Amino acid sequence: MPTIKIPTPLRKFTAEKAEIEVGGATVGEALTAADAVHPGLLAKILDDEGKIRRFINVYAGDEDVRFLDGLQTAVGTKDEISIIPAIAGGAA
Amino acid sequence: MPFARDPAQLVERYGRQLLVLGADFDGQQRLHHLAAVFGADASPVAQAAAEVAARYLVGAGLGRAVAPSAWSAGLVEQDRALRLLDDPALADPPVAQFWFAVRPYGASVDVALTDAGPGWQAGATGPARVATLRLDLGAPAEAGDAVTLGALAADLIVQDALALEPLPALVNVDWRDPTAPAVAKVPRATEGSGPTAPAWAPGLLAEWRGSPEAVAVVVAECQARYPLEACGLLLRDAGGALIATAAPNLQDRYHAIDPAAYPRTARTAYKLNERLIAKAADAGQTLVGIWHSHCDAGAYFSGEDVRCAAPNDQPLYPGVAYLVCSVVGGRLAGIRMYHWDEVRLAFAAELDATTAAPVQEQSQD
Repeated sequence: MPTIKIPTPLRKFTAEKAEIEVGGATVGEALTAADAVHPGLLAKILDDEGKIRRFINVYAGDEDVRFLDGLQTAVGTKDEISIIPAIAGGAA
Repeated sequence: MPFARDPAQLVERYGRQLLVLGADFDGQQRLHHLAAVFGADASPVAQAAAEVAARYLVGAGLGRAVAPSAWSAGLVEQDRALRLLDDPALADPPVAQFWFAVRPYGASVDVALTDAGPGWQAGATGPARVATLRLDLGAPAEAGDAVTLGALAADLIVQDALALEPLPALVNVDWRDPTAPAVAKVPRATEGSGPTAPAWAPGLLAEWRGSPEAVAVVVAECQARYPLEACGLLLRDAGGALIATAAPNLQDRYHAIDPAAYPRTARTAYKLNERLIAKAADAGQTLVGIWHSHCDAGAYFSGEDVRCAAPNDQPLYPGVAYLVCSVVGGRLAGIRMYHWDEVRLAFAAELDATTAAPVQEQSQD
């Protein structure tokens, strides 16, 4: 089963677990499965339109899924999905 | 202004022993324990304001001071019991740091009071608090305004020391509006309403500056990437050493796939691969800071920086500092370190531990 790494601010939804194992063949399915066990988690990751929130990144391995197939990105049983707050900014 | 125009006369006028109403023995003891560090920009007005503040505090019973050698001897003449310290780093808490500056709107003073609070004593541990006092004149301050700024700044500390008035987060003194209260205060969050641990963590900026390797990584990357923003991480290794790493700025990549969500390019924005933090952790390194450059702009913490670092007033990386580098024409022009202030729910610039100066204009050439 894929593993999802949970950032510190969202661990209140996972009983403080830093990583959880879930089912699912895509990133979206894995996140939905995680939300079924840990209600409230998904709403922190996706906006009302079902898109990944701007200040959240979902990585499959070392790549942001925005550069892959988004929530449709396929994941294998040994893959690692990381939810990581964004590091960004800029002048003005 | 009704005051003398000559800063020297202002200093003379305020170089007298003060009688502070409401002072009791405990309050005087707090002032006696305090070490005050006075700093100012190069303008005569700011320098004079710093000296006025120093004279005021010494007159009120300040015990220890760190002041420019140009006028520190006069403080001892004012009070022979004053202990002059050569180095702010040698000052045990409680410590109050002042930085005076002339601004386009008038003048300001940043005050950082560490290890203070009701009943504060030498060496006592307590929260750090930061105040900014703005003298709003509608034009850069002149010599006659120095005494106002210096005395008001010193008074903030005196009032706090005597437990008469706690240090506010922000004091605006607007002289353009005669109907406005002389001093309008924005109250701090009340005790117990949030964490009291200081986000203002002195020392990281000085620590970074003290590491030639860490400085070289940041400066070289900032200048090499210009006119695009550069970025990277500040990490602490298992042995406690500070390390700076450079990271590719992925902003253009994000902009290319979704310009609506990422309207900025790398010219005015940065985005790095956050997986680098996990990789650093695997190598035994802990994230302590995030750095990036502003091209042809100042080393301020911009609105975009705030929105990205703490959306909805919630810092995404609690306890992590942000180093901002101003690069103008391809050369480093200024540096500041910002910490999340949990009391004010805002990012505050770190005062330099060596000079007590917010570092914004200093060249690294």
